Amino acid sequence: MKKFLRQIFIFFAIPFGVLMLLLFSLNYINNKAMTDYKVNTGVQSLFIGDSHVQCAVNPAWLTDAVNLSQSSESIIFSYFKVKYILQNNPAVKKIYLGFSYHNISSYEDDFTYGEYAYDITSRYFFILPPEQKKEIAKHNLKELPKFLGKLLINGSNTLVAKKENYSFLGSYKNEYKNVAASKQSMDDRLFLQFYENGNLRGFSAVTIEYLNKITLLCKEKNIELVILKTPLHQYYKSKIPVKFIEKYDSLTSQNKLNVIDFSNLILNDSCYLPNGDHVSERGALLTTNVFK
Amino acid sequence: MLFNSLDFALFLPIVFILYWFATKNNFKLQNILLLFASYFFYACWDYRFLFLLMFSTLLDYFSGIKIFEAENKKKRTFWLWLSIGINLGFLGYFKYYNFFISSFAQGFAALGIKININTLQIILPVGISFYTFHGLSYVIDIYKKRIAPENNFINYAVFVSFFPLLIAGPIERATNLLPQIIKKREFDSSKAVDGLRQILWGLFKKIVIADNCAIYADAVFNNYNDYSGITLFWGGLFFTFQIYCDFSGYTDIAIGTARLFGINLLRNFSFPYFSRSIAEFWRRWNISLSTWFRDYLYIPLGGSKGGVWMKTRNIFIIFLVSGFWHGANWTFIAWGLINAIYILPSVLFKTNRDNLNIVAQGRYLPNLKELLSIAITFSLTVFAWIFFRSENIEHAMGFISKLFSFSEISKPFSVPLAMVLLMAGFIIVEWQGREQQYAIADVGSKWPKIIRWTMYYVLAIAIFYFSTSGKPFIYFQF
Repeated sequence: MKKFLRQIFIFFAIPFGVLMLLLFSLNYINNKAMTDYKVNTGVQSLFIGDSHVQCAVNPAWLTDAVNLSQSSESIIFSYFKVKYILQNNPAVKKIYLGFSYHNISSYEDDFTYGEYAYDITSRYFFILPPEQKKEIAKHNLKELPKFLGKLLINGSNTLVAKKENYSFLGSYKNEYKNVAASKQSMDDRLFLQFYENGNLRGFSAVTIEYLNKITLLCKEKNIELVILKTPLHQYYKSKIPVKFIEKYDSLTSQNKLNVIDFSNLILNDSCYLPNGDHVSERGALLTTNVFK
Repeated sequence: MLFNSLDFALFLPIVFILYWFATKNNFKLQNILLLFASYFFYACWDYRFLFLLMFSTLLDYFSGIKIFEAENKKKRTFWLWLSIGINLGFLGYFKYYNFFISSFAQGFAALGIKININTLQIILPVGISFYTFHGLSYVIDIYKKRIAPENNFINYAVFVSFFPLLIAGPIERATNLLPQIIKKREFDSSKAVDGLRQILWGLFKKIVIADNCAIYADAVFNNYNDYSGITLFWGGLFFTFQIYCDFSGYTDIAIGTARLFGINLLRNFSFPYFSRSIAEFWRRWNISLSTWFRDYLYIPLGGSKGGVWMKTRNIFIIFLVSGFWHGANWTFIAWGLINAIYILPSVLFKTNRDNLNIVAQGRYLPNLKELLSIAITFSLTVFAWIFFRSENIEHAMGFISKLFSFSEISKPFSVPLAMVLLMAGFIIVEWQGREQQYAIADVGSKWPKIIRWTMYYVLAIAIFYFSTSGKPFIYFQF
């Protein structure tokens, strides 16, 4: 029996040891990559946010900006990214933070602590402080194998990828050319973002908390924070529940935030993806031109 | 609690350690622990049905003693039928009530008579078909004087509810399991290691192969109208592997788990897809159920003795009942019927006892005749599985007619190459291990430890990576 138990212990201890070693190494490598991250010379503005900003602003058409947004990035992760970048990049003077109605919906929490958490949180895990790591790990226990798998893949990415492709950073991506908004897709999208089982969703406490934190951080560092509300199809916008519009307005006015509002722009259907809340490549051209 | 869950990964080592250490090799204490662990395991699914399991256990325990003690045949027969009646009554109520009542109403509707029916919103107690058959075989064996009743209730209850086999078999016999429960078990390191290896292989089959095949099989079966015949063929093939890896994977985990506790369960699968005839297939697929029906239904009906009519009748009865046992749906009955048609010629021409040996024994490859026989048997099996997988007969017929039709308008379906390669690799591993109890029983036994362990790690990593789908085993619904 002793021999059997010893064998079992060794059998499990080896991969556990290797896994721990890998995780600690990747933690060090990713942390270092984040803290050492420097924007290119001349860059003064950062575009931060989720896929809405990622699709909307092409920095290739701008001279002093970089787009570090990526799909499904919650504000909590944007906050930690900004915090590290500002520490090591004194040239950065302005942050455009993508923040729209869907961000304050509890739907956003699915990406932080819910259904999609294993995929999304694994990108940022290593750059988070220990308290946040603990919280993220706790919420990923049910999906532990997938979370660990993603963690290893995303963490190793830093070893092989160019810095603009680091898992925790993000960059402009928009390959949508021949697309157009569709009512059915917009309805589906609205239902997903603002409703749950037919009822209106609540607000995301995490988003609200970290919006405040990011505001304070920018004030502290004397950085100009601009909230960027990317274009929304008029049909999509007209169907957003009032509750979320009111909350959004109260949050931006309470925090005295400077908002660039593209949601009232009237663009034609081909400037949008079918879901109506992302712009196509054509829409990106029109949006980016405003920043020139 | 599923075998492929983190809960079970915690539950098993705790029970194992308590079993071998806390009970200090006292088999009576070990049995009490096994019973509590088994009831806990069952209650994790739904504690309310634990009482049904306990009632069924008590019923068969007392019926067994009463049958044995009865002074005359009349009393013995009374207790036997009481046990059979109540056990099958529960099974019928929970599993078949809604089916019978709705089929009854449909039958009248076909005659133009509309009747109002009340179906019940009832949950099928998991494992009921399996533990009912455990109990039935026990009382029938006592009635037939093959065994004496077990007087210790704990021992009997462990026989019925031993957690590795409680939910989906194998359907154990008192003659095999009870003698192991009533005597002291010694820890055997090589048995335990072999058990772990079998668990690993079972998990790989279930989580990596079956659950991934299910994605494609479900996509094709649920949208068969949109796809071309060739795609439907792939769908059928994926389901064929899904059901085998799902059920035999479960059995491997059950057998391997039991071995950790020093208990050997009956073998339930013996590489059925390498069978050279349908009769051979049924000697290799779900062996514990097939032999149960053979011993308690087919042989009492007269078996293959008698004339053509009697043989034919018995074959149809056993396969229809076997199909119906799987579920309250006409599709299972059709599946049983098809298999009866498949096997009937071999019974009538007395070739059903051919191919008792292992295919290509001692050789690397089969000869052309064997290969052809395997291919034909396999194709027939794939065809029959279409009924097993379909939602209803209409679905199955629609699938089959689309399978053999040519349509230019169909959704493109890219055959998942990685999955096909995985299945091909799996077939090779199964083929090389076909003389063993399970495919990897002997793989790497002569390799250096580091290589052998690397193989286990590769399997474990694949299992770990795919393990969050948490799909329940198909046979849980039976």
